Amino acid sequence: MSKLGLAGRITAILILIAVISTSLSGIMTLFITKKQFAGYVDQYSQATARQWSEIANLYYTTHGNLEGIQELLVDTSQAVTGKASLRKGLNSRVMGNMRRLVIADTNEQVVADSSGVLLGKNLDERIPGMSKFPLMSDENRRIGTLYIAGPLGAGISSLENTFISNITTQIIICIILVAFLALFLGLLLARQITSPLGEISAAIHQLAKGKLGVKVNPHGDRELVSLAQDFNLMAARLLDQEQNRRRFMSDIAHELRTPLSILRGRLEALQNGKWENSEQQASSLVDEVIRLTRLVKDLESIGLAESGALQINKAPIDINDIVDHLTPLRLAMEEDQIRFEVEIDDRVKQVDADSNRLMQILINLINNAMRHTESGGEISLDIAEVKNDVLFSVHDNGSGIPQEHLLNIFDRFYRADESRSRESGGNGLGLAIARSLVEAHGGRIWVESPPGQGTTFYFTIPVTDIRLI
Amino acid sequence: MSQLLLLVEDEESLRSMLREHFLSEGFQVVEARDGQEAIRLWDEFRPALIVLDIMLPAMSGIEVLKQVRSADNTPIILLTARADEVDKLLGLELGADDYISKPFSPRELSARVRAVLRRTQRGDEVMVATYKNLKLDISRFEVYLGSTLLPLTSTEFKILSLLVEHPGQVFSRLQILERTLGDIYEGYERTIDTHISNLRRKMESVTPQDVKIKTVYGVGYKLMGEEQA
Repeated sequence: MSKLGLAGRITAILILIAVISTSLSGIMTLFITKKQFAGYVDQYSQATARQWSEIANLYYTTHGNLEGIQELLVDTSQAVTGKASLRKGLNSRVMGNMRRLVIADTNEQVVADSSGVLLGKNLDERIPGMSKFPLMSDENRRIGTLYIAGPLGAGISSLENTFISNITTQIIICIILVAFLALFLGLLLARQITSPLGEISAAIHQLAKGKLGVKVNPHGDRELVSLAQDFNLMAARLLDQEQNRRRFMSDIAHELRTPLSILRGRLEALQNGKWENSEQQASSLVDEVIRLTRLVKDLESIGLAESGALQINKAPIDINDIVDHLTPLRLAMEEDQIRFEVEIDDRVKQVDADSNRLMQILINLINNAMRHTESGGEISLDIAEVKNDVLFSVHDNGSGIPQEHLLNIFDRFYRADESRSRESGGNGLGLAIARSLVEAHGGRIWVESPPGQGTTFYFTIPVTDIRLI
Repeated sequence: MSQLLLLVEDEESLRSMLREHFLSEGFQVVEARDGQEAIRLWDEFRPALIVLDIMLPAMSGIEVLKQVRSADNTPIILLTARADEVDKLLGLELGADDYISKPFSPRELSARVRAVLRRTQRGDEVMVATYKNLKLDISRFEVYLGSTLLPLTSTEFKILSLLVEHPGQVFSRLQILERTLGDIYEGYERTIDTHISNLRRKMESVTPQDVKIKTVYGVGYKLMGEEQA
């Protein structure tokens, strides 16, 4: 069955169901018809038997035996006579369709036969195909036996047979017709089902070949529409990722180009003697290399975090240590005349995290806040426990982030302000790194920037059970 | 006493650069291009320390590390091209003494070589760096100017030890920052000024002072003798 395919299977099942149900209803029809006929025939035989037993009784009473009743039988069966006394209660319509009757006396000697064949012979055994009815006298004494021919062979039986064979033929024709109809409908239905599947399959092949822009038109049944929609979603995500990757690559190239150009220019100037080898020149070259190295490390940690390979060495860190480590930033803020406030929830004593990574998250966020805060502004760091997380929030009262940038703010190399240079705007990786490090810790990071109220970055670090012990 | 290092690195330019650097730092160097050569040379020369690249042709650095460790405890510093934490951990669990990931500063590498040597050859000498009347006890984190113990913070100590190791040489703020606070603070070079001014204040409280930290305008800082100023 599995090699048949969906179309074949659907068609086969449809045909099977159609044939089975048609056959069943045909058999039922036949059965009911036969039963009705049998009931009808039986009723008729009973009526006939009743009439003849009356006639026989009357004849017996008159003649003392059944000898000569043949005359009466032949007479009755051949034509409707005027013997009203003998025909009391007879239905003339039924008499016209009379079947063969045989009457035997108590010695099983045939005294009457409507066809005359058995007349005068001894009936040793039952005549096949005939129903037997006892004939009784008024005193309830057995006076003989009445045989009525069964449905077969009789006129009414052949009628029944014709009727039944007609029905059978019609049922067989019906089954064949219905089977064809099922075949037709099945193929149609299967086509309807499989054609969207074929389209999706073709689209998948296109996708595999690298055509990421491919889309399928969702149609067909509900499940197939949703499958097509899912496919489109997947294709769109892949396209998005691919574009993201390409943009990332070109951004990296761009970010590397600038420091490399500086290095090359200065080194070539040194080489051809245009530039004196001074401490100052050498130091600026070293600084440029340190920045390049830093960029490479940042890219590497993003790459590792995104592929899920970033190793997080969690250990309990004292909150006060964290604050101590922010001293360089604090000093820098003092110099820029930015007020820095730290508020720590009393309940939070420790946080379970990778110390270096956590510091980097905080530094990147505070760094970002400093870049967007004017002299005289304020930056605050809040550390609180919320449910099962330690919640860090870095707030600044700076210019805020326009709504349209909020969604992309954590993207690599995304800068809300395009005009910012490398020096003033950082390398554009700070927030992306912060996000990947927070996520590597199993936490969440988000940003809120209501117009005119500055910007707040939030991130959570899950509390582990160690603290509860 | 100059110590012998075995330098295992397959990349020619990096190897020769490191050789020059180690020679200038007063070490002796033997070089190996691949793992098998490394094992052979290690067996032959019994170096004081091995600087070992992980990615090597023929036999990987990890394999070399295992073979060396199965024989003795020659200190080993691993060079990794990927900061892949797995590599690092694997290396350390196998018994490497330290690692440094590329790209790195040769000066940083030689500092680590000294630190590892100091750790593994404990007891034979007190590690002291001196310049003029400035004396740094590196193992005890203490600084004496003349006979006076200077009360320095750990950051100040690190800055001073960097300057003392290379007196007369100018260090940019970023360089000092990277060595003392780590590179995550990039962009906060100016905070070095605060540390330097604190350091100066502490040093100036002691007389006589033969040394001072000089600001080189537009570049950074260097340590020099008083008479040169």
